[in-house]
Amino acid sequence: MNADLARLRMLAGVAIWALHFAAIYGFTAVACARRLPGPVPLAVALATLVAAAACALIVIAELRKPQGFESWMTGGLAALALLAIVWEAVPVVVVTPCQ
Amino acid sequence: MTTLPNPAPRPEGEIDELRRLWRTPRGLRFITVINNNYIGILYVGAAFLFFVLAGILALLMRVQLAVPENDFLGPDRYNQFFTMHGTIMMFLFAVPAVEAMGILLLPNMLGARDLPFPRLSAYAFWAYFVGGLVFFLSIFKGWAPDGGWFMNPPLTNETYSPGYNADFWLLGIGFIEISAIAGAVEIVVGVLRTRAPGMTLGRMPIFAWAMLVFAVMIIFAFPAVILATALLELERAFGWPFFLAELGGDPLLWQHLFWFFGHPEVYIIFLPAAGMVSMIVPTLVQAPLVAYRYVALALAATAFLSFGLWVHHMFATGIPRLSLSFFQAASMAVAIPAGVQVFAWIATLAQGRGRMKMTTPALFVLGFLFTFVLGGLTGVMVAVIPFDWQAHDSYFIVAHLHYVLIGGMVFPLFAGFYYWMPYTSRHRLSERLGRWVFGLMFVGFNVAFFPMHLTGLAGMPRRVYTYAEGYGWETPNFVSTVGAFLIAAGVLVFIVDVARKFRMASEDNAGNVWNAGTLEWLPNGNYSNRSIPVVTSREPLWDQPNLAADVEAGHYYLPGAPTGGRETIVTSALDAKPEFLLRMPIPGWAPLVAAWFTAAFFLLLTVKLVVPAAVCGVIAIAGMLHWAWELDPAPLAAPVDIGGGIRLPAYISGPRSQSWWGVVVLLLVSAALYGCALFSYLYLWTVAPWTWPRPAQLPGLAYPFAEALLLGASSLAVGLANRRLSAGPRRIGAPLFTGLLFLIAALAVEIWAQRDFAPTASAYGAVVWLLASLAGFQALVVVTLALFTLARAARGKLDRVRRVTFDNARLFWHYTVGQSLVGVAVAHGFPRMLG
Amino acid sequence: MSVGLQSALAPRGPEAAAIAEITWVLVAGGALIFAIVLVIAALALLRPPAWLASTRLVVAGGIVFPVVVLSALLAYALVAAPRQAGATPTDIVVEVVGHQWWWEVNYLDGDGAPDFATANEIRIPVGREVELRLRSADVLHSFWVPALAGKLDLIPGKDNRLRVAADQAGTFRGQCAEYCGGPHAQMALFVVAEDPARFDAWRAAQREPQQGIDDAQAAEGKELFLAHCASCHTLRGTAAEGELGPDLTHFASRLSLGAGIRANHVGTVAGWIAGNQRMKPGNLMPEIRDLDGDELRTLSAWLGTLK
Repeated sequence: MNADLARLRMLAGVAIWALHFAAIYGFTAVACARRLPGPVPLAVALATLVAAAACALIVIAELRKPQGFESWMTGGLAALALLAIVWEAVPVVVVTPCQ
Repeated sequence: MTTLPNPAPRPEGEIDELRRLWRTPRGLRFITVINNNYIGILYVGAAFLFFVLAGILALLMRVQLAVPENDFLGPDRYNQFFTMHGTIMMFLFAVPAVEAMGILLLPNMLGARDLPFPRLSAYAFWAYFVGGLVFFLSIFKGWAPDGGWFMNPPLTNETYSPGYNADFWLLGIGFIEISAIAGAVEIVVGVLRTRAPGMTLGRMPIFAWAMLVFAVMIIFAFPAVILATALLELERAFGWPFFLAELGGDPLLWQHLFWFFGHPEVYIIFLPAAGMVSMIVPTLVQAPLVAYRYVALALAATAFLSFGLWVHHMFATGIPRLSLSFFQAASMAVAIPAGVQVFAWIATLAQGRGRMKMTTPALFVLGFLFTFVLGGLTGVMVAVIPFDWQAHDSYFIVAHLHYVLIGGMVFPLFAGFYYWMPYTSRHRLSERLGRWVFGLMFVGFNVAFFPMHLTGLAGMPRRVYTYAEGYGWETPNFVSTVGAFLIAAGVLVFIVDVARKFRMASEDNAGNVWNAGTLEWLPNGNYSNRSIPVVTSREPLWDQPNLAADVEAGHYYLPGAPTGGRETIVTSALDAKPEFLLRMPIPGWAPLVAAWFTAAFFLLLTVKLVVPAAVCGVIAIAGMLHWAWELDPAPLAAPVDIGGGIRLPAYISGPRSQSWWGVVVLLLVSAALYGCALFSYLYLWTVAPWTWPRPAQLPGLAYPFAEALLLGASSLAVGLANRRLSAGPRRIGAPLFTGLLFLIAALAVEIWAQRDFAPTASAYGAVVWLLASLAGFQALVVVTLALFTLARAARGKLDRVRRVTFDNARLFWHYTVGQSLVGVAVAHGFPRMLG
Repeated sequence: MSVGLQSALAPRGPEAAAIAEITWVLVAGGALIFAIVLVIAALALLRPPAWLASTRLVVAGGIVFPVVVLSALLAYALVAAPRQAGATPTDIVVEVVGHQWWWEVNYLDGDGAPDFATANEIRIPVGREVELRLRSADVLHSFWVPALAGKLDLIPGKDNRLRVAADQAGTFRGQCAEYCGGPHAQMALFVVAEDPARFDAWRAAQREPQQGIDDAQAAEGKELFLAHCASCHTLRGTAAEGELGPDLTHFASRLSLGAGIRANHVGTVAGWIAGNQRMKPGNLMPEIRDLDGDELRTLSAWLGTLK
């Protein structure tokens, strides 16, 4: 099972997406509940930078490998996760937090 | 594949032995059947029955809405009907129907003899069928739930819904979800571990991909609604104020939990249907699916993204705009995997070069494409926040959701009925009647639901039993009613077709009439394939010449029954390399008794007959223990030859065993449930921090430290038992009992520590006691498992080799300790962290 | 009764207009994409060129095209969206409290204290923004007047605020849009937008306690009211101070009866008092059966004088 578990890294991209999503949603919710909207845009931007960079690294790493099915899944999921991460963070540029 | 594993002719009588071992029980004992072919058909049939019943409710509602100010159904009846319609369609039809198709098709499609836990399938079916029927009957007593399929509190709390109605939903649906989870465990382990040798992940049929994703999604989504129903029932029965604003609760907590389940639920229903389409389309055009890898990727991606959409059902609740915007973006991202699949189907259709025959499955697939694309586009529309402020809870949403659910799931299912009928019946269905079925359903569907887009934008809210005249709603509503009856006529023709043509069959089925390429179309019997093929492509029947004949002649793996019982090959999860031979159980009454009495337990509890419910609960658990007692058969020392020079162990324990995997999946369910409980804790804190105690008001630090020590000691004791088991079974009693004692002591300390916070006093009290209750429930399971293990040890059914029972208990035990430690850290640490 | 507008496609206020524009953009874009997909599918079925039957189509149609279109849509949705809360301050603040199955409407004064109360009807001056503070007294409800704005829920424990404004005079119907049990279908209300002068006059009149007509029949009507209705209804300026049902001060100035389900005139009022469970099954007002015909007529006629 351990060898099988190691191959769960196929899901690394979407796992990063999930963490990023939980982080920005959770941070915004708590900040608004405490009436401290100030740090929200910066926090979202930082989280997005880190998460997007991590996904991009996965995509690049997989592109360099020979094209097996697993490598395809790993890279593809990370690419889609990257897109979702960026899209989800864009509103912070336009929308005022906590209103 | 140049050399066959068993090239020599097979001994005479081998096939008769297989037939005998896999024979269906006769007479009254037929209902103890556990073989997937039969459970699958019963399951599909039951789901279809609920589809018809909920459809009849829909027709009655459409009659009521045909004209304004109608009084055919009053509000009470209408409210029960629309609640039941939604609830039955989602929980008793859609999820079970696709799960049923998985149980029916997967083993043959994967080249397995059966699913790895056949009795669990039987249990899941019977609990669902009996429970579902009684649930439906509540409507004749006027006890049917009437709070909407989403059951929003406070409307559904004790004050505003004092009758049994809401309880029927909470308890009735609660255990039907348990049945769905049982099926999901089965499917995850089945897809990952019982594929034919050589069927790597990259060669797996797309339907298997879809069912794997489906099952994983159930594992993470259903716990949210199970927890939500538990919280609401705790509030109704004992006054724990999770959703009561005055005491620090929040009605929106329900909506978060419900839609955290509810949105993935839509994909739980849709993805298997999409998987069916991905199987049918290649056969129609006699060419492989274009962009297989993209489709597999799309399925996996949808599973994840769908967990980031739940708040788009809550755009009108007043949540801050920025938070909504995250979900708006995620809702758009999920459109991409859907688009990938649509274009993969279109590209595959193009492989037909215009020569595809317009058979009934083809018609339903095209109807599906048309409808689903339209429903997907309106889905993107409602993802746009401001548009949703108008569309939300209006008939526009009724139109949208039926486009994606009927278009996206019912049409593919009917395509599947026509397509796979020859696999399970002596005759295929009629192409002539099939055209009528499709024509009536497709035209009827669009006539019924297209106008609703307009009705909604013209301002008509949904869930109204009547509407006012003069706002432009009369004509579209009347048209919708006409359309609904056209759909019903189509379904009626289908029933006629099935009654005329369907004759359950396995060995003498109609066969591969479509010239399809996947394994379920091999000649088969109750034992699935005579021998288990080696797979070298995605469409083995197309690419591996003479495959069917060689399989039938027993030239592949496991041509007989070397251990003299039911068995299947278990392979590794990614590469499908044979690992061991799984000996499988035979039919028996225990799963049935367990299922019936589980259903009875929940239903009697609903109507507050506590004592009979308890009796049924005890019988159900006794049934389960009796059932479990027969599992983990005595190991066979010698490995078994399955052909091709491969000798597989016929007994295995530890991390490679199917049983270990099953337990791990169950623990994921527990963890998801607990995760939702922790979310509830944090959420309620953001809503009502004033109910949280200051550090000085908390129990002293001695309590959490004592608990941590006891929990750690409990885990150590199990570890000791584990080491001792290699020396002999009789010496595990002392460490196990000590470990149990520590575990219970830790729980007792927590209960004593929290004695000053009444669960009824505030949301804080309620949620702290919730964490303790979950720890208590988990401990109860551990006690049961430990005693069961000791009983087996005492009866000589447990030793250093034959130790699956112990391993399962041990896994559960360590998980319980871990979960309890997290609980202690949160309950005692979080308020201190706030300072 | 068929009065007023209730369509999101007939906007009469800035928010509804902004959303209607978004709606048309979405409908047009959606229809175009739908048509393109259908054409490609038809081509695939009838005479497919080679590129259609390949992964290239999946990448182009399933990835590149949606990424471009949805990115544009995301940007558009963010920019075109109305209701960026906290805009200009407004001096007209109305608290709307949802009850099973009617709307309590409290106009607040400058300090947020109650000014006067009415029910199932909100009057606003044309061209001025009005702040609605949405609360619930029991279960979830949702405030939805499609001609003016999108909907916003009324949730116990929450303080949801909605800005509405009307561009022109008119009567706009709204309905509870969050299922609230029983006769949820019959929980409507009207927003009446009128020119500021008329609005001011109406507001001044509403502030006054109830004045009745001083004749014998009126005295009898009032007596019946106090005997049968006062435990649930308030009538400012009289002894009636019940709080279970709507405040009936200036009742006759309202358009509708039973939360927007019947026109308000003597006949319907009498029918409502004696037989409301047939008109709105399940509503929480008991039918008043112990009035004889004359008494019922007197009471309804008197209610009809409460301008």
